[in-house]
Amino acid sequence: MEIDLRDFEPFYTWIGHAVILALIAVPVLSFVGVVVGYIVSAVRYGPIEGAIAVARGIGTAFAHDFRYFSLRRTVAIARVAMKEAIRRKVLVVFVVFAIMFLFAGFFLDTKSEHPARLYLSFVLTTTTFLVLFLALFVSVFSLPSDIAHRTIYTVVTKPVRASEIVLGRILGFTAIGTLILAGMLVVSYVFVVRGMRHTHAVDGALEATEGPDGERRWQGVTTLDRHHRHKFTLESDGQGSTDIVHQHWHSVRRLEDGTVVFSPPRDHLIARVPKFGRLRFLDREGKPARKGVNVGYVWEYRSYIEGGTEQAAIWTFDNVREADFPDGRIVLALNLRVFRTYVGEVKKPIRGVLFVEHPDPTKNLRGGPIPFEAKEFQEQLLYLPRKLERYRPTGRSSETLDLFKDLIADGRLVIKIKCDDSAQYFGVAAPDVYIRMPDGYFSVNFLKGFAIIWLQMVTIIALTVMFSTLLKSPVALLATVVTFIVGYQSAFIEKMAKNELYGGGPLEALIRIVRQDNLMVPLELKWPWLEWVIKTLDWVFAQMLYVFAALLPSFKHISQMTEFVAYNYDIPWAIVAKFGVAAAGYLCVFSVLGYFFLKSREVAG
Amino acid sequence: MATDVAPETEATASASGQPVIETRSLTKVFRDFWGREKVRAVRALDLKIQPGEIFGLLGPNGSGKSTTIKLILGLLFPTSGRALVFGKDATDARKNERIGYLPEESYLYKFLNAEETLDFYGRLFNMSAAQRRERIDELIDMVKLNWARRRPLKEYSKGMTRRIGLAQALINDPDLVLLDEPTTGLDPLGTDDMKEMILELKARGKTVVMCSHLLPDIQDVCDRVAILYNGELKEQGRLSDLLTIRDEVDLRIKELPEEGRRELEALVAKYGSEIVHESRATSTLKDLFMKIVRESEERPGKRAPGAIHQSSEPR
Repeated sequence: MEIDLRDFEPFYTWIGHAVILALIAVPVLSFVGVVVGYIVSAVRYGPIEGAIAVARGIGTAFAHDFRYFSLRRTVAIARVAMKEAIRRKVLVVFVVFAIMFLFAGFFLDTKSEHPARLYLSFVLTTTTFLVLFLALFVSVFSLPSDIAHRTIYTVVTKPVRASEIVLGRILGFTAIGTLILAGMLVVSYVFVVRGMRHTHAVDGALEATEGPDGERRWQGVTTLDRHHRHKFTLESDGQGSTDIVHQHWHSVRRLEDGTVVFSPPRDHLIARVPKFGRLRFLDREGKPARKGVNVGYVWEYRSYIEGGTEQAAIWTFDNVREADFPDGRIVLALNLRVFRTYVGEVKKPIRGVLFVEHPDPTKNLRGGPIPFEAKEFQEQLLYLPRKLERYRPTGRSSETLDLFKDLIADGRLVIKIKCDDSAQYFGVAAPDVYIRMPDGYFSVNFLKGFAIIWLQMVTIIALTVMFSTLLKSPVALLATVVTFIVGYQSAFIEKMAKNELYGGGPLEALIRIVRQDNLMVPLELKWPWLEWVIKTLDWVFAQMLYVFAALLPSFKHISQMTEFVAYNYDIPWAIVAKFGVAAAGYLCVFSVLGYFFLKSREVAG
Repeated sequence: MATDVAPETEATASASGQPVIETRSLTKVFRDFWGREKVRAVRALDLKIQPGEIFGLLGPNGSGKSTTIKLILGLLFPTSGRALVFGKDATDARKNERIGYLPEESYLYKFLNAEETLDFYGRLFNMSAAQRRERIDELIDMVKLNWARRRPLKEYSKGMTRRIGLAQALINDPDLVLLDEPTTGLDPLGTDDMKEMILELKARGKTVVMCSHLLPDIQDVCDRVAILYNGELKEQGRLSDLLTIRDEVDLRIKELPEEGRRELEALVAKYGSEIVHESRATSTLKDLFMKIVRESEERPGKRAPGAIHQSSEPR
């Protein structure tokens, strides 16, 4: 999973940028809107009459229509929209969803190493797409069908404002969508929790061992259930636990009659609360570097550090307060990747070391080393004890350092990680190492995931209703889908606009397709001026698309948030709040646009 | 009732004797996708409809009646000219506070029942729950749909749909009622009921504008009519004036003996006159209508309203 640390920017810094952006975008867009409105109006009525019509339209909007906005009328429209949606049998979607879940269990690969992730991804993706389709189809047909069937005649000849028709519909469809989403939430939750629930029995005999403390312990293995088995240890008091397999463990208890029972799975559905830091690198000589080594992967998310050299990855965490760690130790989660230049013994893990450094390098205070073995594809937890041995490059030191008093200054904690096996590499990205704060509640996190799906649904409904005020249903459907795709691919479009993609813009790409050119070779045409024209046109197109995409909700980004739930990360409330504010903003913009579209069209066409 | 209308405008509207509806060279041209003129549906129409009258818009199919009503309601925008309702522009939603509209077919939500339908439209007038309840009972009684008030409209017959359509048009106790083909699809009894309701509205001081091609209906209820043909106003005036034959006198004499009759005939002959018809002296609206249609077909173009008054020339 690719985590973008910008998502974890605190709400107050984000809202500052957002407000500035809105202060620029709103006047600019309003101006563009008025100009476009005037052009349309001038074509219809001529230059002077057109200007009067635009002025009157804007005047009425603010003097009467927005001022006399009535909630009762809006709710009345919403209620009819809901009844209409129910009559269109939208609830069938929910039935389809439920049926799908009844049989989904057969098809989900329970052999997966991460069954919880699989189940969660499945329910969240299914829910997202079903709800978005539902939102799209329910809202795209309503207004055009009212206009086609002329039921709109009896509505607009009442003192209803176009704004109320638009908002009422958005409200009604949102209510229906919410109802269905709530149903899906319950079904999904039960499906995941029940789908994960299992237990084991003891397979074979228990083996008694004696620990170094002289205590007797019993070890054994469980039966193979759900394609996995655990090893477990029972202490002398009859209590114990299994190891972690498939993202979970069980607690084990021996009853008085000697039978051993296993609890339901533990820690498979959690909400990890990460505290991320900033990442910087040292190169092979130990000098600061912007990046590590590129081992040749196209995916540039991670950068690599070479073992046996001075190359290191250094994380800086802010606001680390002693009060937040009541048991005096800090839990560090590591998700390092390993790149081997020679295979050697595949099962032999690659070793690394970790140091805690004082943020001020002149103090030359360093705790550690803490050696570890990198577990690939699995999060590993390292506990930073309160007392750390002071690191001396020469020989051992008898001096101990206090984690909070000696090594953390102004709430800043610096962690340095090196790879210990020469010619092997660790792949690291900033989110790969984080401080694991006390876990949040999984159920709350699940709810947050659904809240984000809900916000996405509201945005889609508002967008679709806006288009349906102006366009016939098939066209409105197409427009919404195109907008969704552009919004979904906004990251790709940004790259295209910044010329970071191989192959150029659409015209250049077309020529390359026809000529079957490699993407890497420069575009060489017979006439240099033509090449210039094509590149310029592509550039203009890309910039326009970029502006358009930047204005739209970035749907892919929103969808990625639900992955947090699947990967057992807690979604910070700040993210929910950001999406909430963004969705509210889009709701306003789409409603206002919808109002002007509906107001400026003849409903009896 | 609704509260959005600023009270001072209402007061001035009624005090100044302002027409309820006024159109000033109202013109509507329908264009195709490329902006080419397709139909000129309404041509420079000037109409003034005064408070309290029943005004009929007449014309054959495609003459621009419905388009005119839609322009007055703001469902269509004029290509040039203006339509004013209660002194406000036709596109101003505030005028709707005092308007009731029955479209040519009752375009209602078929999945709602009668009560829900009226409740919905009541809400659109911002009426309180108590007001709505009272008004719904009253209207359902009036249109005699009490027995079917809980049935969804999709199960309604055409006549029933018409009646619930009228009820929704009256939910706000409007000052102006626009009826598009109010009697189409109604049986004779229903037609009579509808006419009676229209006259009752007039009695309560409401202005009614109806368009129809069912001439007897118009003749029975309208005070004034305008006849449209091909988007142009061909004739306009009080029905009584339009249908009066100016060079004929109608005498209605009770118990005239044969002798008296002969004397009367002699008297008429003495002045060089002639008794042409004995039983009726007014023409029917149908005659007038057919005449205008015929004339318009023969001589297309603008015709001064009031140019022909009925005379006794052979029909």
